[in-house]
Amino acid sequence: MAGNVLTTNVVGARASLLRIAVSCSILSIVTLGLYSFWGRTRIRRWLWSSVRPGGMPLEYLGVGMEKFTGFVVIASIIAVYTGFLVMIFVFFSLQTFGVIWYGYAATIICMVPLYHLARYRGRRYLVNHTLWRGIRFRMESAWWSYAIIGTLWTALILLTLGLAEPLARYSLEKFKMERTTYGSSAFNFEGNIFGLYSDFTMFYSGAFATGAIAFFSVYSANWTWIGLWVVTLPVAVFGYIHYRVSAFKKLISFLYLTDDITFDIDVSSGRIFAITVLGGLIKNALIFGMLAIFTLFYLSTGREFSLQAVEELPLLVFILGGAVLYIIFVVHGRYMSVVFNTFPIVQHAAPNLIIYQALQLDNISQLDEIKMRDADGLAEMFDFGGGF
Amino acid sequence: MSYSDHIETRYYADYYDGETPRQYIVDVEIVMDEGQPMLQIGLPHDDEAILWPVGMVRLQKDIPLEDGAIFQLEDGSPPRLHIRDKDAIRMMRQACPALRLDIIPRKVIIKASVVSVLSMLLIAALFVFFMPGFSSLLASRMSTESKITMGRANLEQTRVIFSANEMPLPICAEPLGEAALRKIVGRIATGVSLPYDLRVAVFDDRQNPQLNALAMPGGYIVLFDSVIKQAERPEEIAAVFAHELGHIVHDHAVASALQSASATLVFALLTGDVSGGGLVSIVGGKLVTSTYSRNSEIEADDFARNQLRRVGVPVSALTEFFRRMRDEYGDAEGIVAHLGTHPRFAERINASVTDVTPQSNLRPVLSRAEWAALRNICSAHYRIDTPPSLIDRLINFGAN
Repeated sequence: MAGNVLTTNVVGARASLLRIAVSCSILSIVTLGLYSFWGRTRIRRWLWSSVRPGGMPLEYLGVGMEKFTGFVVIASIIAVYTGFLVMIFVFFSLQTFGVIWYGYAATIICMVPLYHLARYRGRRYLVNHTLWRGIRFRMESAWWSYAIIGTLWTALILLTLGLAEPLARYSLEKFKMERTTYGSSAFNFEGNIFGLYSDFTMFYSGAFATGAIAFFSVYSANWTWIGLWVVTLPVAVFGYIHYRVSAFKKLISFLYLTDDITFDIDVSSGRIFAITVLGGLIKNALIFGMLAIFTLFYLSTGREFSLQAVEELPLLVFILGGAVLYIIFVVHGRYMSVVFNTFPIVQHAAPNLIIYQALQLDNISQLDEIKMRDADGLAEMFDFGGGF
Repeated sequence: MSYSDHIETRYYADYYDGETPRQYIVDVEIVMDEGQPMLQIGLPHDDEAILWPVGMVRLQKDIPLEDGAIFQLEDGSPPRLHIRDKDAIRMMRQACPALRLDIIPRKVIIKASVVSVLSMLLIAALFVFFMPGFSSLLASRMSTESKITMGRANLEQTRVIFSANEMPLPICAEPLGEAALRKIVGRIATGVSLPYDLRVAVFDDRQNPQLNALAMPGGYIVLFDSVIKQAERPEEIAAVFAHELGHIVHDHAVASALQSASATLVFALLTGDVSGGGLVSIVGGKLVTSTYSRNSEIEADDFARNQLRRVGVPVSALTEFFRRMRDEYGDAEGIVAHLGTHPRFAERINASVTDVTPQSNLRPVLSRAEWAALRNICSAHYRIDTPPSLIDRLINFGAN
């Protein structure tokens, strides 16, 4: 029953998710990756539905075909944009400096706006295809502005040697959330940014120390200090997780809906760290397990396993084999990561999500154009993924 | 009548009407409306119930089922019905015939497939047609000085890459051998005009034999000593040199550098392998550029044959050299043949053998003494500390 304070349930057993993930993984491998677009849709549907604030499930409305077309279109754009761009940059780089890598650097720099664009559109697709209690979320199509602002922040982060990170994170999150609506009501985003900085210190000191030692060692060719990495690296790694978790908590608490509704979540950095480490180990073990299965399959076809034999494979088999290997490592890795990393994190964090003044939600209404079947088909055809 | 006959089993569910986020507790039952079975959703304070035709009801799949089942209409509209009661769910399964059908309309699938196929054709066309053309165009635009700078850098890099130890490969400098080399170069390059000087160096690769010759931007040609030792007569060296000259004339090295830089990076981005140095992107990039390289090899062979004819060197020398390479070292099969930039020897032999027009202007390339000197060219080297600019002058074999 919907009360004024909603707590959240997480429903579903990891075993069910694993079953879906494994079947999607195998289908993706044998279809050389084609199925992965549908597979990821199924996984997201399951994940969204497992999170139930007030017992009422979130819902993912995305469609596999849209993921596929989105990928193909963005791939074409990248191929065209990059292919010609990098050639031109490398040309000038060779012409002026006689080496290739200035050209590469210039191309990568030109990729930064594209990166922010993709992140924005990825988030927008997820938001636009999320439903809760029959009402859809929406996000404005402001990807041009976001690409520019994101690039400026990236530049500032580099210029300040990383100190601008929390500020950037706050600002970009504010940009995204203030263009997000739930039905007729827009989100507001307001909070104390200095709290973010206090969470940032452990990570920054660890990372800065690690980087400074590396720089100093390379510059003076004196490697005796590298031993300090034993201290600085774990501080940096744990500090990073602590920062991201704490930032997440704070950013959630900065949200307002219809001025009254607020959100709160409690997450333990230690738990997240443990899940990440353990999940990573399990995921890698499973990758090698899948690899072993396919190696046995290869060996059973009677071919021997020597470098000579591999070199003599017909081109087609080599390409197929390479694709299978790639998919095993990346796609299968991603699925296993969802089961052993993402979902455990959701299971830990989501039950701590609290929504205050939830009765105010009843005053929200659905946006008119959504009541009919979504006419804006083409714009939403392109899903650039959201890291899930 | 027994007590149980008076008890009406009512099933309750959560209903969201898609107009506001309100959660309504409703009762659900299957009724007949004008002869059609309907799912009746009774709202608490509304006399008019909502009717869903049973044929249009869909069940959400790929979701956790521990907390009930969620139903919606087949047109994808926002209202949702969340039923937790197991008996109620059973009732739904029995009454609704099409619970598991998909919600995506066929038209979207067709439109999407067309978009995808067109995009993939675009990418393929890009790699196979436009990129090679564009790279040649850019290569032709590059200034002569830049090409020479590139070539010089490549020369130094090659000395390091192919060395078996930390020292760069020595450049061979025995004077009589050099003179013989000059004679070959002068003969083969007759009538060939280039915007830059030809610079030819022989590397002493006895520690790590390469059996190869390389053409670099800006007119730099490298011949490994093992090739000279492998040849049986100077006409074969002349033929190899003619082939490398073909690369120089067509400016393959610059276009190839641009091509492979581009293909490697694009492949890396497409496969998400942006960490660079990734095996996938390097192999992928090579697969793309190797087609282009193979075509340039064939172009260089064609140039070589024509040029050998012009200057009176037997074309068969090229064929003989390939034949011997194949007999000694075997032909590349499968993937190695494709990734290696040289087409299989068999192909190149065939191409040469079909060229049977008799040649009437044949003259020997070197005398016996000159040939012996050339084979001996690596008995002396330029000093290891010779600066590159000086090397440039020493290996300069003249402008054309």
